Amino acid sequence: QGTSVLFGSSEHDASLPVEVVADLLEVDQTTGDATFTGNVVVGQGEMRLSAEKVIVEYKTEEEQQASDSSGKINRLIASENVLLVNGPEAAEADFAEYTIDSAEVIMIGNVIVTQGENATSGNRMVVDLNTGRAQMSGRVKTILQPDN
Amino acid sequence: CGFTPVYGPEGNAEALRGTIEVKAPTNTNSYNFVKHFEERMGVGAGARYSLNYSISTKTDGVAITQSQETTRYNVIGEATYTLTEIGTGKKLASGKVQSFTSYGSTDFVISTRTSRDDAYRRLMVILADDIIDQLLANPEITAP
Amino acid sequence: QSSGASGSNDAAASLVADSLTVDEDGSLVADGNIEVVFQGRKLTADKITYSPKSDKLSITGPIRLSDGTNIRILAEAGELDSAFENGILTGARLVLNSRVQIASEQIQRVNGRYTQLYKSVASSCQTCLGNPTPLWEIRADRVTHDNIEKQIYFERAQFRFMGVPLAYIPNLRMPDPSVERYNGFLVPRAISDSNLGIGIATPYFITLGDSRDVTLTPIIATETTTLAVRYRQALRDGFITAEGAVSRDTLRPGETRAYLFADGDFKLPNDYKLALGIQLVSDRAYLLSYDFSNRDILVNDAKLSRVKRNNYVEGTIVDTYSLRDSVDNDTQPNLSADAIYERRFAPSGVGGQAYAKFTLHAHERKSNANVVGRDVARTSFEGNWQRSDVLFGGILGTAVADASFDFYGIDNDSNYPPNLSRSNATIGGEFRLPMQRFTSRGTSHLLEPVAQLLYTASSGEEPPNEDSTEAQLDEANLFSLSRFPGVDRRETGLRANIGLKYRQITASGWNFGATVGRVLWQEDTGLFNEGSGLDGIRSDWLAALELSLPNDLSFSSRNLINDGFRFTQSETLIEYDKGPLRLATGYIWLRPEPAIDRDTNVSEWNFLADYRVNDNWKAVTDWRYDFEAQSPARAGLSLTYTNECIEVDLSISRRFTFNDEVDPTTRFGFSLALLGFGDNNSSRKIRSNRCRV
Repeated sequence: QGTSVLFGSSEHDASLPVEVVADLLEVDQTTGDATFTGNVVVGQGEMRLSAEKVIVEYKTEEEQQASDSSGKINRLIASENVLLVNGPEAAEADFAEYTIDSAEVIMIGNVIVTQGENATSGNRMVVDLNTGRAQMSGRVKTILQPDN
Repeated sequence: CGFTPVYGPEGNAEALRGTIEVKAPTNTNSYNFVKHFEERMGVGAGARYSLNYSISTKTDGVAITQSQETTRYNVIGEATYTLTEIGTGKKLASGKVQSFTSYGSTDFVISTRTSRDDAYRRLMVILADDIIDQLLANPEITAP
Repeated sequence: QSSGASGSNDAAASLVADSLTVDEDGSLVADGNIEVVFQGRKLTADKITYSPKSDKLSITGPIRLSDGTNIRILAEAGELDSAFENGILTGARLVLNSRVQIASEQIQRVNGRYTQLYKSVASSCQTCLGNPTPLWEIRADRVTHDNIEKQIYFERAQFRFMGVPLAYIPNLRMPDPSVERYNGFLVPRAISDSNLGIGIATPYFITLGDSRDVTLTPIIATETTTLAVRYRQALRDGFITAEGAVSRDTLRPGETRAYLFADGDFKLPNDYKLALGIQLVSDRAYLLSYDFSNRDILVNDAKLSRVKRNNYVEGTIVDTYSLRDSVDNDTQPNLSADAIYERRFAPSGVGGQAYAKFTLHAHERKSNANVVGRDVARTSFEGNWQRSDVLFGGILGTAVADASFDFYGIDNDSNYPPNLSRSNATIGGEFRLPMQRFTSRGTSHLLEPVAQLLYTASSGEEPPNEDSTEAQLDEANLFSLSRFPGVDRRETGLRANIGLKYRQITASGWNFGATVGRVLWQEDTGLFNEGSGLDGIRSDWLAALELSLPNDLSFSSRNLINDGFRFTQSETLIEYDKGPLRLATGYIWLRPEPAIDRDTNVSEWNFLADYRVNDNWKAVTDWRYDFEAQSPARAGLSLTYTNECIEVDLSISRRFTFNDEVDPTTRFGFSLALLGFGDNNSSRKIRSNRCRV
């Protein structure tokens, strides 16, 4: 496949386990959501998502049955200095939301994607980790870098 | 009749005598302008005002005979000036004066040339006099 | 935070859009308000797909591409590389310096230098929906714009005027609008003149480096073939200009007629300036018939001068040649030299101001016959001192003392000894009482009576009068030691100069001035010409008026009125300049002054009106009417139509001359200029006619 795409050049497997490392963990008894704060790093296969604060939302019972995947995490919501690294590409933003099953990451606020010296900025980016398609919007600015 | 002598006690010209430094001349016209202005307004050591000026002249042939010989030239001139107070740089007065003089262009070559130079000199005298009139008639320039 | 988002390495173009999508194959799809910038070039479009592999931008419009200088391309669609240097745009229009528009099916960019347009229509005229055909257009199979040379090349071009094809031009080159100095044809002028016949003048401009240029203007007409030349050169400390022409014509068959006027100004070390002038002509009628100049004397001179506040130094050598029929140049003092050294200083102890003036003069006539071939050399020294003090009651008193010594060497004139000398001593006093009055409405009045009493004792013989054959009385020399312009004559005896000056300045800027005065001599010195207003024991009354309104009307009039209340001399000038109208008119009345060959009255009215009728039309008319001869001396009318793409100039002028060499001439002029090519004073406001929708 070898061509450089904006994001996620290597295959990504959304079914891999998700590890989370952080300074502090709080668990919300009622919703069961876990809030990691302080140098949080979320890892899944090649992908790393770091931020100051990450909330892990688990599926409810019904969602558990409804979804055909075995994963228990529904969504990860990261905020403050969010950095998503996947192979050679890195994307920063103020806020990010990773829905595991659909392998879709939505990043909002000062989104900057760097790939080698090529950098693209915008207000909002939606990345489909499976296909590598990424769509950025809101006064997007990029450098046209010919493949020579 | 309401007129008060300008150099009298209530007049304002005393402040101007010998205290205006005119911009140095760069050509024959400005030399004659500065010479006449200083002869009339005096040259003092303690200059309190500076007069900046710019002079432009043009000539126009008149009294042209049927055989196309121009027998007289008008020298038409205009001068703009600004008077500023040296210490504060405040602009006290500014304006524009214009006038013309003339000289005969005859078969006498030498006389025509001296008449032409004299006409330019006289024009500078009139422009300087008109500026002095405007300064003397200007109420804002009050005695110290 | 990684380095700045755009990471502006100027090797690559940067893109900004509302949204950007990257496809599987890596190509970027930008959408909405797209701006791509590359080293000062900018492209805007609605949708761009960029494939990094081929570095190709495929663009859908409306596209606007500008390369930062003066070129803009508007197109509907196209494909370009990211540096916009190569590629094709379709349904495109090339706009040069926002003046010339070249529309074409397809525009091709080649290496960022050439922009080629196929099947194109070029025009700087605005087209409206109502009438799409521009006033003029140049259709061409191919138009190439060279951005480096700044030229536009048309191939197989066709010139159309109002849609009608007028001329077919295989290939044509024109400078692009940003060009100020470039070799090439300037606007041709058609002339029709009762002397020169009907013809055309086609000026060609050649730049010789940055600081020199020459304009060659061949004039081909039925009665003459002429080459006119104008050369200009800017030096570090000065400039040289020369204009001239050479002709063969039917007015003087078999003769080569030519003229050359050149002058140069140079700055020399420590404030010295040198001015040189050369004027040569084969015959005077040449200057008049071709309207090169109406000068009636040729002056070849060199003048070295230095001017400081208190010191004036000047040296001149002049060789003149009179072109007047009435003048025999052998008996004219054509070759002359002068030197002036003047120093102004404040004498210590006595106060006041003084100047010392030292002058040398010499002139020589070619003929050595007695009297008519007279040569004269003169040395003069003048010392002048004056001092002003405010006396009682606000009177400004000025004492003046002046002494002058003149030494003459005279040759070829038996009426005069070979050497003679003369000395004059003058003392005098001037009293001024300037008075002011201010009204509540801010009007200031100035009233200044002036009286000057002078006495000059003179000894020695009287020299020949070469430099003071004519004297003028005006406000400047009403209060002066002598009305003579030169040295050969000085006023002597007891005389009084009296005058009254009034000036009113209103707050709104009205400025009115009046000066009245006269000169009274104790005895008639007989020095002044009859008809000059200064002859006799009392001069005519001088009455000078001056009125100026803030920046639009100025009126000045100077009159000499004799005791019988009849005007000896009267001249009035009026200038009015407001909005679209600029008016300059003058009337002059002079009584005969036989001493200077004015044997009849002069009564002449000059008039010039320059009226901007509307944004496009301007009319200028000027004439000179000689009441004495009951006929106009000169009359001219010109009409100019200008819009954003064309300037048509129609002029007619007639000179009513009655002298055997030059007969009356009528001159028609017609010139048509296509605006937009070359920088023909684009500083002028561009008046493009608006489309009446």
